Amino acid sequence: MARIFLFGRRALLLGLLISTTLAAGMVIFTQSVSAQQTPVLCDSNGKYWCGKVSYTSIATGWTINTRWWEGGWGFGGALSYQLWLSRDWEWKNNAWQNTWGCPKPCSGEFNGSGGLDQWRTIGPVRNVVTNTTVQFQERYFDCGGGCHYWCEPLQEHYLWNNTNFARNLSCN
Amino acid sequence: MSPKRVLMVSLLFLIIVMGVGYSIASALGVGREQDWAPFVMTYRSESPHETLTGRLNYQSKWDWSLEITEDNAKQNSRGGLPLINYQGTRYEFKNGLYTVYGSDGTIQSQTPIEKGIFIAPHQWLVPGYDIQLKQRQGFSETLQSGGQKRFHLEQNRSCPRNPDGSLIDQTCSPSQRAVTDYIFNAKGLPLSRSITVDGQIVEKWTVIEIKDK
Repeated sequence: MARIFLFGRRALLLGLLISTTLAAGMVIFTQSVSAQQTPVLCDSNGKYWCGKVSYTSIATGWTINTRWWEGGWGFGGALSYQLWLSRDWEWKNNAWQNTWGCPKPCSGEFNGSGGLDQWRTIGPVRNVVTNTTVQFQERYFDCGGGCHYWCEPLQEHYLWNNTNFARNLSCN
Repeated sequence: MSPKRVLMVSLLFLIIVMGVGYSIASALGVGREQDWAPFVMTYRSESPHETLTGRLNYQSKWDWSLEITEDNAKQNSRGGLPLINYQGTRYEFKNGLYTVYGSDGTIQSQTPIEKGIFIAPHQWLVPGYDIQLKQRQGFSETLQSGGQKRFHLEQNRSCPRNPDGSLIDQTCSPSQRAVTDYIFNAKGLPLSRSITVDGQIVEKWTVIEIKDK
């Protein structure tokens, strides 16, 4: 009887160990293949700009797959637009550190095509091991009161809680 | 009349015509660049996520600097992490160079701007932007006390779509009502800008103080 009891306890422990390992494996597997995208962020007039980031959760953090941006021209808006900046930030040693960026301006000007239905991409695929924020800012060219540039608010896409919002800053 | 006299009279006539033409052109402002007189402006920019305060030191559209004097993003943490804080960041446009300084005063970036083109601190901080709005379809203009002008636009939200017709931004609904308001002073300087969607404030930019230099 005691032997049966002991065997039963061992089986129970073994069963628990196997199911825990399986569950952990499932979690790691799910994380490693779950491709995600930050919500699309567009200007409130739905005229000038949109942005989003595609990423994959991996066991050690995230892989930034694609940084998507698009701009608008015409419709009473700007004459042309270009990507002014795109930057990756990582939270390291209790501070935000800029770990990738393109030289400003990040793209040439677009004025004959696109217009908020033409997603464009920028930057490399990167594996990041810490909490990450991806920024975009587009620059617009207008003529009126003299020909000039102005920038959209700075877009920030937070991979760490899958949110985003725009900050009203000048050309950063 | 002798040929010499004819030449003299013609020259005199030409000088008078040129003088009158120049006076009329000057009075109309032809050839003169549209710009504001120098000023220092303090403003507040509010969104549901943060409040920024900026000080714009404006000499001309070719020479200005803007400093973020307050950024409350540090207090508004999301998901346990603070946001990048821009307090102390300074933007400067001078001598055809656009420079961004960090809060410690170091140059973060410097970009040359093509000759004859200026860079504006914000989309609506451009001399003559009130005139542009006046010409833009849908905006109604109301004159207010002290020569202030209000531009009001109320319309259903324009939601960008993918080529297949689906909405790019799933949170945008064409049935939402978007209201944009601008107020300019008599000199054409913007005093406020607000955008609401279905009555909720999305963006609010307000001048706290303007001082002539």
